[in-house]
Amino acid sequence: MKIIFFNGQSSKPIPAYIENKLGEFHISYTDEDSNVVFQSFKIEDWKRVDYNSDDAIFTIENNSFPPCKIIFKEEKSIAYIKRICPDLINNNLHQKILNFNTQKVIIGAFASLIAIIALYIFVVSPFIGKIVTNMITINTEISLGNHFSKTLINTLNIDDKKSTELMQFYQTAGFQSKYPIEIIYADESTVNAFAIPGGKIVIFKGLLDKMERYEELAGLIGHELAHVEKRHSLQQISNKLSTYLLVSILTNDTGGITTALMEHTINFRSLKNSRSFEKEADLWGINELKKLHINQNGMISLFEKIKNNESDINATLTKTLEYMSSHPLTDKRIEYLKTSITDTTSTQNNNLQKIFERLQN
Amino acid sequence: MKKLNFTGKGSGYLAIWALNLILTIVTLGLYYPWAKEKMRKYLWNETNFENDRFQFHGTGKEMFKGFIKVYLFFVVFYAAFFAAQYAENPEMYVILIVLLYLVLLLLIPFAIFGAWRYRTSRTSWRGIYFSFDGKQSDFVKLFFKNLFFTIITFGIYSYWMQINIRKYILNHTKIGNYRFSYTGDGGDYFGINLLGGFLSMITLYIYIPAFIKSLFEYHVKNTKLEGKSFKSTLTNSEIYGVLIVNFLLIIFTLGIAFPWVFIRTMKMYMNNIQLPEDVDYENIKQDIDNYTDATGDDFLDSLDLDLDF
Repeated sequence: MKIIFFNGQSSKPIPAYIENKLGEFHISYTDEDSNVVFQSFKIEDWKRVDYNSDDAIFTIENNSFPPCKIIFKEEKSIAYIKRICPDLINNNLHQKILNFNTQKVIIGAFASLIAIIALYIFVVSPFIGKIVTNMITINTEISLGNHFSKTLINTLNIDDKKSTELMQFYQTAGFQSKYPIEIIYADESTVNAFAIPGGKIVIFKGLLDKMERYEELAGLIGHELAHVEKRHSLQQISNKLSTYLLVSILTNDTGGITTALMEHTINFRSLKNSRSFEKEADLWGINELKKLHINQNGMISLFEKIKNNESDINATLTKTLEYMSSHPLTDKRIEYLKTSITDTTSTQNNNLQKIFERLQN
Repeated sequence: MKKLNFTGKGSGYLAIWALNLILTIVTLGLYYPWAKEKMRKYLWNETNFENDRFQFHGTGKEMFKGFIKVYLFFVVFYAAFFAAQYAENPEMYVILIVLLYLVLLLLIPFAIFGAWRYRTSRTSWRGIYFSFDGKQSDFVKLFFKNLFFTIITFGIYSYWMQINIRKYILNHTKIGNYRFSYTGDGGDYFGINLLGGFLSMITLYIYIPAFIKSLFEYHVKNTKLEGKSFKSTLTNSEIYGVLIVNFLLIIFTLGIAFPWVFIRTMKMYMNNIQLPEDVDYENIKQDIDNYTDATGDDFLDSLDLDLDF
């Protein structure tokens, strides 16, 4: 059979003939001096070296150095070599996939990728995030939170006097925490509140202005306190970092690894807690109200006010996109909170009422 | 015309990439050297010159030796980092971070040198191997000398640095007994970048593809084989066409079309590199001595970090 032979000494392609005899390749060709040259090689010393999706060429190399190379270009000679040396046909997984039908490859590849990514996001990443979170001590968390809040506080318009009132409200209500809680009043119209790892809670004027009862403020503080106690923000950061770090390691992106480690300023305003964290905070908060003998309905009326704050259009859009939202819809929150109310022992707290009225002025 | 020809397909690239990713994830990253091997084998083999394909002979096993050392280095580093957290020792964090950056910076020239030496020694065309006969100590000195000037000139010298590194690398690269060389000049390169940057800004970045083309052309025309120049046949219309379509593909497929974008880009560059006509490509002799020197089991050779120069 006709082949192209490279003898490993030069790049000159040598037209040659090949025969299989007793486990050996016998190659014959004419050299530059018109002499006929014969060379024999053991078949077991050869392997196929093609690594592409083109089946029109069959290339083999032997294991000597420098290696000799044979290229089969004609259909007949390719069929011949495949028949006499079936072991030479590449059967590795990558080559099989390259030989697959294009459509099947694309569908299979994307389906597998989506499955792996989904498994990682929903199972592996939260698991790793939890492990990482547990490894971080409370003191470290407090230091981290202090560091983050320094950057954050500069972007907010803080009212120190009202922050002191909020702290007084917190202490008078009887909330307790293993963290050094500090509640900050942000004099901005945003209807929002959030918690930073380590104990700082920020409440915006916009949200406070919506409130009509001190029980609503107590419910809000209970909710945010839950995020602190349960380390939700830290776990969210760990989840994100674990994904980022793992991708960096897997892709050998050393720059990514160091960047992830150096990155220490995160925008908490945009850091969304997962829906399960929000639900956990809602239920923990409402339970705290019960322990402190504060009317649990305060939390429900707070959510009803938040719900009323949304326009009809927004409510429709939010319903449609609920499955993508990190916050369970306000209606749903009100629903499960109502089923969680077990309080029958709440009493009016005039001290809290007074502090609340001062905050509203 | 004697041109490189890249025949890769988006589906082929995707197939290899996806399988590599799955195997890498399930082995927690340990499969990565074999993933690199498979990808390089595919890309090299889909590139041909004079109808003969290039080949990558490296193995995952070789690259694993270097890779596992890096993997363990980072595991140890992370362990130290978490130990510092547990001990609540902020000074230790700072020391560890600074140490990490210093170690990585010191490794860069060794990694560039080793990666190039490894890749050339594992690449062949028509059975003739490439090789790299540079000296590690010379290259490291060159790197740090250029880095020093880059730092004291607040980055301006970086263009000369890039040219000097490229020159050293290519001047010491061979295929068989034929030697490559590079004749670029730092001043010219700086000029192209300055002009390209300025035009890109005043045209609100519309000029960028033409800028990229001018850089590509500069490097190609200053690359020589046996003293004869390569040539770029890339045109402005081609680069604009490819890059604009690539951009739209990525946007409208939310990034899913990246394998096709990668292959299109590779084709655009590779298929526009014209090799010198007056070189005897049928008479390249195997350079056995040089090959033997290049296959030492050096940690950083087999590390083969994906650093470009």
